Amino acid sequence: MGEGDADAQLMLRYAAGDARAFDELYATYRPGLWRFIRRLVQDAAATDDVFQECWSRVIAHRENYRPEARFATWLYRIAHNCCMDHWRKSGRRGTHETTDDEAVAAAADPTDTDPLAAALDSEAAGRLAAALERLPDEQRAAFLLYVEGGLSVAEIGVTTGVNAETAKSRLRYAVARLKQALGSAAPD
Amino acid sequence: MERREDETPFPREPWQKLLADAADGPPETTDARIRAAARRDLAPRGRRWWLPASLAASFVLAVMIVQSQFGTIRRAPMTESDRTGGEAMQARIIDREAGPESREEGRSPDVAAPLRKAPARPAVEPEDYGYPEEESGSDEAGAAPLVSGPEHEVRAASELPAESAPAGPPAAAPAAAADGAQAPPRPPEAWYAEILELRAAGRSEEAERELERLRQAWPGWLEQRAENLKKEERR
Repeated sequence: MGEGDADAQLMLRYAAGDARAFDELYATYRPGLWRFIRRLVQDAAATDDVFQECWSRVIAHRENYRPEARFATWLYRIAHNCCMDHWRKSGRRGTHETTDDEAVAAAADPTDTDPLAAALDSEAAGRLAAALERLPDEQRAAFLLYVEGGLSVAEIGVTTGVNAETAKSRLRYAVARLKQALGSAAPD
Repeated sequence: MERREDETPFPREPWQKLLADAADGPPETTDARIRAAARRDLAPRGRRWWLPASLAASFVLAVMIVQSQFGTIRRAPMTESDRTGGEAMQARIIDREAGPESREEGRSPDVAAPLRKAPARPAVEPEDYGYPEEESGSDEAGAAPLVSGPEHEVRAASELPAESAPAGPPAAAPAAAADGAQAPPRPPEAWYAEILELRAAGRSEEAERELERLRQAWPGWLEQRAENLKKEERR
C-alpha cells in the first residue's frame, strides 16, 4: 500500500542509513506535525516535548518500519499516541471523555461563548484556534488528522483506533462546531 | 461517489490556511536536536558489529587457550623423575611386603635402594602395557618366571627357603633369574658354603669366580649377610 508512497521510500532510505532522507521527511512533516501536536495537546510547553518524543520514536523504530500504509498514517499514529501518553501523564482527560453528541449539544448551547463576539475580537485564525481548544479531544484529533495530516477517514480510524464510521462521525461533528464558532468566516 | 466522499468529506485547503496562519513552528533548537538525534542514531550502526565480533573473538581465543593447555597436559611425555618415582614406589611396596626384618638399621633409603632395586627393565612407554617378548616366551617355555613386576618379585621372594628370606632381599631373585639364563640360581646360603669349601680346599681362584657369580646372581646378599653377622657379634 505504501510502496508507491514517496515518503515511505524516504523512510526506508533513512532506515538503510541515509540521513538526508530523514532531513527531507522532517522538512515535509515538520510544520503540519507541530501544529497537529500543538492543537491537540493545547499546552505550549508540552508541545515541544511531545514533538521531540514523536520524532524520537520515528528514529528509534525506523528499522521496524514497514511500508504497509502511507508514511503519513504511520507518523501521525505515533504522534497521536504521544499525545495520548502526554494526557495520561498529565492526568488531563476532561474533554476526552465527552461523547460526540454531548459536544454537539454544547456547541449549540446559547450560554456558551458567543462565536460572533469572538469573531469580532480576533482574526479568523485565532477564532479557529479558540474553537479547536473547546472541541472534545477525539473530534479535535480527527479534525487535525484530516486537515493537518492529510489522512483519509479510514486512516483516521486506523490512527485513532476506531472504525471508519466513528471517525467520520467525529470529523463531521468537529467541522459543524468549528463552522458554528467561526460564523461567516468559516470556509465553505 | 460515496467512496470519494468518505475520502474527502470537505476540502482541506481553506482550513489548512487558517491553521497555518494561527500556529507557529518548532524552535530552531528543537529542529537541530531532532536532526542531530537522527544522525547520531545512524552513526553507531557501523560500530554495532564490533561488540558482538569482539565478544566472539574473545570467546574463540579463550577456547583455543584452554584447548592448547589441556592438549599439552594430555600429551606430556613421562619424565625420568616420573619413572624413577615409580620404581621407588615399587621398591617401597616390596619393602613393606618383606617385613621390617628386611630393613636395615640406620641405613638411609638411598643406601638401601640398591638392595631393593628391581632388575633392569626396559623403560616401557605409558601406552605400552604389555610385557617384553622374551619374558612371555620364557614363561611359555616353562622356565622360572622372569619377574619384572612387583607382584612377580614378591612371589619369587615368598618361594625362597625360609632361612634365606631374611638374608637375601626378595628383589635380588629376579636379577639372578635374569642373569642366569639357563638354570635357576642356587640358594645363596648353599652357594656360599660351596665357596667356603673351595677356599678351604685352596682353590681360591675358583672360589673368587664363584663369589663373583654369587654377587651377580644375588646382588646385595653378601653385604646383607655381613651386616647380619655384625649384628650377631654385637649381641
